[in-house]
Amino acid sequence: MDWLTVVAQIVNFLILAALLKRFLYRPIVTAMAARQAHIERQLQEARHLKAQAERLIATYRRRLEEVEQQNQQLLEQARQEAERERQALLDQARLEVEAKRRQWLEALAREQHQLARDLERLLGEQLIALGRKAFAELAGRRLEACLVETFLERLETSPELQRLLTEAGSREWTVVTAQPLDADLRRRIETALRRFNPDVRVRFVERDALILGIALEAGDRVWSWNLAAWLEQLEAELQRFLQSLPS
Amino acid sequence: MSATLLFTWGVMALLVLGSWLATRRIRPTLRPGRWQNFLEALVEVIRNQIREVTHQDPDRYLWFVGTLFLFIALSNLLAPVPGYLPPTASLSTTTALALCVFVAVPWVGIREVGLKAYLRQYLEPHPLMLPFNVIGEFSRTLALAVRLYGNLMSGAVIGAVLITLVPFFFPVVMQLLGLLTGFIQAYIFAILALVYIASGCRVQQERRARLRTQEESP
Repeated sequence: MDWLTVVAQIVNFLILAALLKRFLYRPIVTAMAARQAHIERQLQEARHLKAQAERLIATYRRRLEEVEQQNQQLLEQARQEAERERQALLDQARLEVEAKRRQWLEALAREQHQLARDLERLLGEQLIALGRKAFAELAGRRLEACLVETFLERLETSPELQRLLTEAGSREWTVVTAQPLDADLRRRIETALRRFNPDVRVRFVERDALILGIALEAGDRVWSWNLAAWLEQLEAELQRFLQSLPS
Repeated sequence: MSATLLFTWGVMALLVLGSWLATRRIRPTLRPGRWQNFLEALVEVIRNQIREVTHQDPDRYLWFVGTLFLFIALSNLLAPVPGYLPPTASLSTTTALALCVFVAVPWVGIREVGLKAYLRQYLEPHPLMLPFNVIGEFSRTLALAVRLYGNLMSGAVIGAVLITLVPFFFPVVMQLLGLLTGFIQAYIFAILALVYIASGCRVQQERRARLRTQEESP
């Protein structure tokens, strides 16, 4: 063992260590650290970007959901509105149909009623015309005579007629018949009437319109007991009845 | 001018030149070149070893332990070259390296805790232990030197013995064996040096930690 060599080797070793530190370890460690830092930075950046992207995705997803929800709501609203509109139109149509139907039914009822009334009026008129005609044909002197007899009888018994005659102030009374009366009947009527008013002048008049019967006109008062009056009364009654029917 | 020094310079020149060539245009690129990649892997392996053994920042010991390893390994690996004599086969070289470790252990310790605290370590657990501590320190270094030298020499002796027995085809196998043992030797030497340095350092650290806990809990 040579101590000089030992010392030289120690120096050699130290020089080698220094040189290697300068040329090998430091550059390599530095380069690796730099690369690692670079990679770390890139990873950091990537993580950052990823987080950003995820946030963005979340934001857009949320927005999309909102839009979808809104769409759904709008659609639902539109549907409800359409439904309401449809219901309203339907109701309106139903009402219109109902009104039309009622109108039609009313018109029908009116027409029916009108028809019935026309029919009834026609019937009544026909009936009355028939009666008028039948009585006109049937009426003759004998019937006249019977009527005059009945009239005379009434003069005795009817308080209504007696009141009429006592209250009538006219100087001239007219007795109306359908057929001319013979002298005997005329004298009897005059006698009967003069009992109520001795100064009265009695005039005899014939009117076909009476058909059958007798009428007494004392001034402004009229007492009639004849078929035409009956028929008029009947017709009036009939008209009143038809008008009282519910339309 | 001895052959040992000559070959030492040759190995040094190879190492420095190779490092310079590899790191001349080093860039922190994502795709390092082939040479750069190889050296990076090598340095990273060394750093990992240091980290595993010491559980400390490897860059503090890297220049020392890494140089030990690389120098011994390359010296031994060049053994098959004709006319080459490994410088590590000389006791002078191994003694020099061992002395370096011997100095490095207190050096690192003193740098870690300061001179006074380091010297006080020799008086623990009792001042009576001082001679034993000093002897232990020396014997450790001596053992390291002798281990390296003895292993390399034993490899040579075994080779010589086997060569005399099987003169014709055995040398190749022996050369391979020599390469293996030389590499392993480099590894063992570097690791042992590391352990010594780190243990000295760790003793200091543990002591400091103990002191700190004592201060905190009066």
